[in-house]
Amino acid sequence: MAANEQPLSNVSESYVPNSKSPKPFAEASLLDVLPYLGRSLGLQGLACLGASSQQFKQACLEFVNPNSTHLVLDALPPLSPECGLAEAAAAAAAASQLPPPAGAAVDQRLQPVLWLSRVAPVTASSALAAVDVLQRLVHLPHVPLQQAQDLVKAGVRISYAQLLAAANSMVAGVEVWVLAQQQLAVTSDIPATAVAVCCGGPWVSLHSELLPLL
Amino acid sequence: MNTLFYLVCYKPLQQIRRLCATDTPQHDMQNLSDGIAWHNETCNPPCLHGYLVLLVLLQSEVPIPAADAADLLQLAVNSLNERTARAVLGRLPSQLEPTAARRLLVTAAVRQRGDLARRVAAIRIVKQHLDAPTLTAVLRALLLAAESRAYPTSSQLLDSVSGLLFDQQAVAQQLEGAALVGMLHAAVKSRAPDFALPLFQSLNAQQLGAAAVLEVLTAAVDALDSYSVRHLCSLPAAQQLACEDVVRLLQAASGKRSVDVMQRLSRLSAAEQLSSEVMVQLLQAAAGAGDAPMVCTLCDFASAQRLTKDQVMCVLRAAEESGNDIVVRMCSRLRRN
Repeated sequence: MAANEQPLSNVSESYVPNSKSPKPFAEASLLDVLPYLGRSLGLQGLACLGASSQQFKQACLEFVNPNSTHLVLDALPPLSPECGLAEAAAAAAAASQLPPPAGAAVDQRLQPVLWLSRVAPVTASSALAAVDVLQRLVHLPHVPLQQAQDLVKAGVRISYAQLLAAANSMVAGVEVWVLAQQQLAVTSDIPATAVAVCCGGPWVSLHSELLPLL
Repeated sequence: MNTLFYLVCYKPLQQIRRLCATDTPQHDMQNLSDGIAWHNETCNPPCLHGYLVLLVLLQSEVPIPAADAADLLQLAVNSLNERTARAVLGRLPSQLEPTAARRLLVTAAVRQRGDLARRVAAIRIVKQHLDAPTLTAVLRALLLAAESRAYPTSSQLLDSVSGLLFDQQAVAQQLEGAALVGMLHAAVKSRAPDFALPLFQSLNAQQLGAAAVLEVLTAAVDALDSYSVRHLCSLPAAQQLACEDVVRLLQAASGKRSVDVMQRLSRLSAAEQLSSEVMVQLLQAAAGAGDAPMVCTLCDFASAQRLTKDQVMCVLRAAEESGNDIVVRMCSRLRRN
């Protein structure tokens, strides 16, 4: 903790004299307690705070850097525990009932992670390489293609085993990761046949003149 | 490599399809799949043509490598893309692990593809490994989807549910306890209960307890579902229903003014032993509302014949207040009995 406090107190000291804010005291003390609050704020809270001002962004990032994997992991919905086929079906059916987010709209669930990948690409890519994080990501139903592409750019790599695990858990729209990886020409261990099965639809509709052939 | 390989890479799809449709010798087909494999390996990402060829192949007689079959099928059936799901289904392998087979079926149901689920279930290998919990999960998922959908889709989903129950009667007969009661509830809720006929007639339904039957029956009366009420009343446990429970059902039916449901309920043994006080209440309510068909139905009850003179007078007074001549005439017939 001592290592964390040193740069933070610097930030608050250098911040107060330059401040034009009406409440410098409140902001300064918020910066001081941030290292203690950080975990309970979660990545979502830190992202909101960090987006509000430059000083906060720096303080948030200093907290996020050493804890990024945990924070990213906590920001994603946990995996449901191993259960029988009937329970898995009920969970998957319930998840499918939720209306899938509209194509252009930003997916709320991924907002904090995407924020991190924008402001701190290196930290994000190391956090997104963790197996636990990838598992949670691939189990999210109905991830829009745009966000999947952003995450693949940020360092997400879905393996064939993870893809199959998600398909076996009946996650809706899991093929979006394969499509995103293909479109960004990312190499993976997913066999060509599986890629064709996952990416078929969008390709065919891109080449609508070929549809009558099928 | 040879001509077939050349064909895969450069020839129009129609020609390949024709080739797959005819009795091509097995070794030629092997060459064809070798060609596809090479094609897919050299072009990464595999090109559109490779994909189309794959689809045609999947629809043809060339066997999918058994090792990958389960994984590929699961990916395809789980895919949000309808076309992919269908294409792969045409080429199910003869060998499939029981777990994989069950999961495939449930996945089709969860993706709300009723007809696909029905086709998967009809495949011999899946049928062999179908058990009651799996069927319950499949039916639940389809019913849940039907509930949340608008008319044409929901009716298609219900059709596939009834198809599944009909095709898999042997397994449907095994549903018991909570699963069975849950399905009967769903049947009542769906407002298209004829799909549940195999369930109503199953041996396990005949052995349901009075409490379970009462639970579903109450829901059916509330939903004014006379079809389900008829089938539930014909179950043995329905004849053991307590008098006060039946009174509550009759009052509910009278409150909703459903003659149909009332007639079905009149077959219950408890309804025949109704006290004359309850009968008077029911008759008064029906006569006061000027509801002639309901009064007619109630007059057929055994206890309507046992009313005292004072009780008949009460009913007549209510009938006269309603100002409906037919009702008055029906009620006056009570006195003569």
